[in-house]
Order: sequence, then structure tokens, then C-alpha cells
Amino acid sequence: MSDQQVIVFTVAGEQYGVPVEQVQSIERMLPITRVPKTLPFIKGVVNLRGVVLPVLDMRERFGFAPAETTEDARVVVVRSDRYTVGLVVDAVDDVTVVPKSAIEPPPAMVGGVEAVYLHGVARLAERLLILLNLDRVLSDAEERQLQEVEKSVQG
Amino acid sequence: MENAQYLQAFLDESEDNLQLLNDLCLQLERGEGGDQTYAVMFRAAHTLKGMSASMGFQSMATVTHRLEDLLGALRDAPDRADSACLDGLFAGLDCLAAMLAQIRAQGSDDVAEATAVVAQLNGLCTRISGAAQVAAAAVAGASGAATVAGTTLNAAGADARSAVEQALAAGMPAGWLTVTLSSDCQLKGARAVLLARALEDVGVCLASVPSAEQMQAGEISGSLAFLLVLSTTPEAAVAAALNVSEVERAQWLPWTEAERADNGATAPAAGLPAATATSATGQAVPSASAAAPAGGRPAAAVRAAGEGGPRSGDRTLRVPVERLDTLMNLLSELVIEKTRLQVYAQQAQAPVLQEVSDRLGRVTGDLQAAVMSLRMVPIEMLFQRFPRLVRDLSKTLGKDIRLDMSGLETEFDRTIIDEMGEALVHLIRNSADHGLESADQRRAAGKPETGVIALRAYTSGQYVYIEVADDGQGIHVEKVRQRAVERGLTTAAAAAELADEEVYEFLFRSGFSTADQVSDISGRGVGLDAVRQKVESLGGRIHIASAAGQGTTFRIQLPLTLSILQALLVEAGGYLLALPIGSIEEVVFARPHDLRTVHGRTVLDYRGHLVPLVDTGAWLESDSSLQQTPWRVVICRDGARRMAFAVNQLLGQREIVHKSLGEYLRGVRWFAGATLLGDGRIALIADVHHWLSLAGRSN
Repeated sequence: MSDQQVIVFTVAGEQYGVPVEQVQSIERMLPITRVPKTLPFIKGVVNLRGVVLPVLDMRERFGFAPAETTEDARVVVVRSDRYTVGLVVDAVDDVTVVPKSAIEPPPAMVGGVEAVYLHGVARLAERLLILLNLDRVLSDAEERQLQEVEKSVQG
Repeated sequence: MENAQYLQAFLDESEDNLQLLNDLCLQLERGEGGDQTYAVMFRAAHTLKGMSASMGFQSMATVTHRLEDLLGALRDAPDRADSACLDGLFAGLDCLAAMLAQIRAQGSDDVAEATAVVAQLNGLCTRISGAAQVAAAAVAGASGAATVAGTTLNAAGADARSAVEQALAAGMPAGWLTVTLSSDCQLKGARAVLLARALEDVGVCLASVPSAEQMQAGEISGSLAFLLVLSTTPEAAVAAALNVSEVERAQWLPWTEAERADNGATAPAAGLPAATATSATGQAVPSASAAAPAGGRPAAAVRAAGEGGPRSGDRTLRVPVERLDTLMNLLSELVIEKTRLQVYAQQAQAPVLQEVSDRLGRVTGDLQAAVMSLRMVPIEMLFQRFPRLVRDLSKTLGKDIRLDMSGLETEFDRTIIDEMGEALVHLIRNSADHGLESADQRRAAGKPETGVIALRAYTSGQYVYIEVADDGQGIHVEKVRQRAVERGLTTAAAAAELADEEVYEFLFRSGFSTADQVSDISGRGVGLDAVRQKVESLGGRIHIASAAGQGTTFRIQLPLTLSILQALLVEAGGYLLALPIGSIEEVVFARPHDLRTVHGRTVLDYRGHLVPLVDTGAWLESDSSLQQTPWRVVICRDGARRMAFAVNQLLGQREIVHKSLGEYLRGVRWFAGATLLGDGRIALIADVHHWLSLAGRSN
């Protein structure tokens, strides 16, 4: 792994980074159609230029209290190894280069997010950047969704 | 990796060649091969070897090389062929299939059995032709691979200019794409990077102004320009750029003769500084030799050589399914706009507008049908792998089995072909293992020793059918009854009452098996439930017919197309829902006095039947309830099951385009997908079959 280019966004006051290769586009907030019988952090689906795209609320995904979306809120469309989804974030800040040397292994918990969901944290000059492991974040939630479905079928 | 864009073509071509080799091997085994068979196989193996070597899959190249040696030896001495040779060939083909699967999944051709297979093929080859020849061939092969590697290196070292020349010579469009970002774009750097990424899908970027590094750093003033060699059309490249948000304008300037005469790669005359003609992304344009996978169209050439085959010599084009999906998406947007126009045209009462709108409607309809037909492929695509499967089953089980296939030309939606493979393998294994008796039993029953499995495909009405039938012993209904009672699925008294058809239902229960012994092939009780689930997820049904001593038939009914369906649009609990027309029996109005309470449940008295009634909005989400009476009630039906779904509003019947909810939500079984309405809103498509089974369970 060499220097990494990441897109930086804010969720509940923390700054997170996702590799630019995994970001497909950044959209202003779109009207979201709720899908019943799904987990609360799955906000629903949006019509993104003719494609139906699932949208997740990152605040709720990481257990923060839901908040009113503001002008700055964006949908970051990301692609993990298996899924393409939109992430609702409080704001998208910038693109930055994270040198390999600045990346440290994550502590057990950062701002409410467990270490398994992270690639690490990056200490840059004036800020701390949390590098997300999207493949994990998304696949884990997917499994929970499937378990939830099982429950609803059996219950 | 430059090869990435050829990987798909390589995999497709290789699978074609492998299929051809498999078919011919089977012919040889049946003793039907002609003098030319080995020669045709030799050429196919040779092509595979060349392709895999040029793609850098050395292990695969080695196996195909040995395969080629053996086929070459057999071609020269066909009389020495024996069953050991055929087993060796089949083992080699299996190994190659495993490698292709591995390449597809992980990009590497490492498979465990390769060494053993190479040794096996070597042994056979030595036996047939003598060692000297093999050694000579090995040297020749190695030098061939070295040449290919050398050419690729050369291309990588070439500068952008000569790359463009080569691309133009090869008929690929090259030129500058100038892109203007909207002035209020906040993160120009991020946008530029996303743009570059989007352009990777349409071609290779050789240079850019500003440079890639400057773009990443956000040093952008004015427009961006990319020097591209396109794997698609300029229009598609412009569209790809415009598809990135906050891109205002995109313009294509072809690399003209004039620019070519100019000394060096110059940026377009848009007031931009001259570009440094270095490769911005470190990527090189493919040289002609890197494009070798497409070279010679091996499959087509060999097919043409095989005489009298069922394949016609049509001029065809291979298109990735994703491009068809893109086309479908664009088309569905067009349909939406067309519908909007129709509404306005009616309101405006302008005859000309009305006429234009009508004509547009007709053209769109035709276009829709044409695009749909592109998605249709003959079922032969799926069936062609089964002769080999049945041959292997026949050997493993020690039963003589003949496979009869019919309706190979029947066309199915591509998605069905992709999805149904596993399910059919299950059914065929099931028939071979449980359905067909042993030769002794068959003789005792006065049947021919060779058991027959028939695979049939046909179209009827709005459905396509696939049947898997065997002429075996049939299902022991009593045994199934007994096993169901043992497993506590029903009581002995109730089981005795059930009709045979209802008894077969137990076979689809998870973990249900009547096999006395679990074999390698089947009998673990996995399978039929998975088959049914797959069929139902595609909107189909599966049905069993069986007669003792005469055999069993599984009939699978599937919708003709998965993409467009007629649906009733309703609103319930604030949700827009589309209910497929096929599952609706009737829409009725219900007043309180039509309702009864039975065992604590609300039921509707519907034409003398008591049908469970569900308040759909409340059912989907607890905090909503129906307002006014009479209630609008949609009676849905699935086989003998009926349910009444009360909704707030009926919004009318329309043709909808089925869209997936996305891979991420594939676990959501309540909805089969979504569709976009004329105003851009999303309606969820109810999985009525699932709804009925849920509602029935909580009964």
C-alpha cells in the first residue's frame, strides 16, 4: 500500500476517509423512498439517474443519534467489493492524500466505531482521519439485514 | 493491468473453445468423431494456448500446451486413441474450466490439480507419440510465449503519440475530450478524479491537461482535457463524462490528420497549454498483439469448419450484458418521459402535439420490444453443458443414461439463463440418482436398460417452460407420506387425506429426503427446496408430475421476460406499491358488514369464500391505518391461497419496468424490486407470492 488518495466526509463531528477508487460520485440529497421491513439505518432507495440505489445513513449505521439533514448533507455513492450504495453524510469536505507513514492501526473504538470497520486512523498535520473499511462496513450490515429477515419470517 | 479490458473477451472466447472441445470429446466417446475431429480439437487447443499465454496465465498455457500435444499426437495416430486418452482429455478440460473459474473469481489461474493433469497428459502423449516430439514442442512453446511478452513490453515503453497512431491504425477512435465543470463545483479535485475514473470505462487516458498530479491537487483553472483512446464511440465518451455530476459540458475533438502532422501531441485549441505527451496514468495502449484474444475468432472459425452443426453462421456481435442493462435503463427513462408527454399532450388539446406524442409512443413501444429481444438468448446456451454432466453422472452411478434435449432454440431472458443453471443441475442429478433405476431393476420391470432423461424447453402464452423428465420409477407417494409423518410435518390421518399433488409439496421442504442412503450425487435433502426458491425468486413456479413405474417430470414455468410487467399501482400507508397483475384476482370494495372475525383474524366474505384480510399499510409499518370506507381491497391469489389486501388508493394499471433494489438489498424478500414512475418517484414491487406465504403462516 502506498500513499492513498481519500475523499473526506464528516459524520457526527468526526472526519472519515474513503479511498477515491471506491467513490463513484457525490450527490446532493435526493428524495429517498423508504423500504419497509429493513433495518433502521437503511434509509431506503433513491432514483439516481434511472438506477435504483440503496441508501444508508452513516450516523445511524454507527449508532449516533439521527439528526436533521442540512444544506451540506451529501450522498456519497461508493462501491465495495460487492455492493454499490449511497452513504448519507453530514458533509463532504475535500480530497486529501494520506501518506502511508501517517496511517496507524485503529484503537479498539474510535468515536463509537469499532476497529473491525476501520483500515486505520491517519494523523495528518492538523486533524485525525478515520479510514473506513467499506467492504466490512457494508458486508456486516448486509448480514444483519439477512438475519433480520430470517427473524421476521420465523416470528 | 492493461489486460483487464481484454479479460472478459478472453474468458468468453476461452469458454467457447472449451465448450467446443467438450462437445467433440463427447462425440469421440460415442464413436461419432470423424477424421477431422482431432484436427479441429487441436486448433481449438492451440488457440486456447496462445490466448492464455498472451494474457500471462502461464499455468493455463502449460496445461493447454500439453493438451495440444496430446491432440496433435492423436491426430497423427487416431487408431491409438483409447478410453484412457479420453479420460485424460476430459481431465484436462475440467482443469481448464476450473482455471477459468478461478481467473474469473480471483484473477489467477492457480488450481491444485494442474500438476497432476500435466503429468497425466504428458504420460499419455509420451505413450502415443514418443518422448522426443514432446520435448521439441515444449521448446517451441516457450519461445512463442517469450515473443508475446516482448511485444507487450514494447507497447508499454511507447509514448502517447505512437500509441495514438497505433490505435487509429487499429480503427479505435482517439482524440481530446474537453470537459467543463460547473462554476459552483466545490471540490474540483475530487470531481476531476471521479471524471478520470468514469473515463476509464470508455477508453485509455494517455495524457491530460492539467496533469493527473495537478488535478489531484485541485490545481484546476478552466476546462480539463483528456487525451483518450476509446474502446467505444466518442458519443459514449461524452455521455460518460456528462454522467458525472457537476459536469457542465463535454466535447470531443478527434485526433485529425492536421494534428498528426503537427510535431507532437498538442492539446486542442481551447487556449490550453501544450500537453506533455507522457502517459498520465502509466497505462499503455494495447498493441495489436495484445489484442490477440480476438484474433482469428477461433470459435466461429472452428464452428464453420464443423459441418452440418445446429449453429448457424450468423454474423453476431458479442456485447457485455452491462451494456444492455444500460440501454434498458436509458430506455426506461425514455418511457417515463413519453408518458409525461402523453399527459401534457392530452391536457394541451393541441392536435399536432397529440400526434407527435402518439407516434413517439409507438416508436418507443417498438424500441422496447427490440431491446427486450436483445436480452433473449436460446436455451441452448444453458443446455449445452448438460451432455457432459449426464455422461459423468452415468459413469459415477454406473447407470446407462441417455439425455434427450429438445426446444434448444427456445429463447429465454438472459437473467433466467444465468440464474437457472444450478437449479437444473440439481434436478438432473436428482433424476439420475433417484429417478432412474439400476439396469437390473429396469430389466426386471421390463424396461430398456438405458434410462432416459429428457430436457425440454418451450414457450406458451406469456410463459416459457423447462421440463426435466425421467422414465424411472416415479415418486413413491406412500414413502413420502410416511416420511412426512415421521418428521412431524403432518399427522397420519391428515396425510392419508392429501392428494398425491399435495404430498409432493413435502419434497420441497428444507431438509426433506426419502433417499435411504445419502450418496455423493444427491439425497442429502438439499436441492429441491433451493430449486423452488430460485424459481420463485424469478417469478416462476415449479410443478411435479409423477407416475409409479413410468417416471417423474419437473415442470418449471417462468415469465417470458423479467424486465417489463403489467402491474396495479396502489398506495398504502404512504407507500407506493406495484402489485403484478398476474397475481391479482379482483379488486373489490369492502364495507364493515362484509368482514367477519374468525379465530381472532379479520376475514372478508368474498363470493362465499372467507379470505384473510390484511390492512397493507399497517402490516408494512405499524403506525398507519385505513381511513375511509368502503375499503379498496385487492384480492391476490397464488394457487389455492387467497389473501385480501386493503389499500388507501388505487392508482391504476400500467406497464412498469422492473429494476432491482440493488445487490445490497437482495435479502429483502418482501419486495421483488422497484420501478420508476413518470415523475421520478419510486414504487416498490410487491413480492406477492412471499406476502401470501407470510400472511398464511401467521394465520
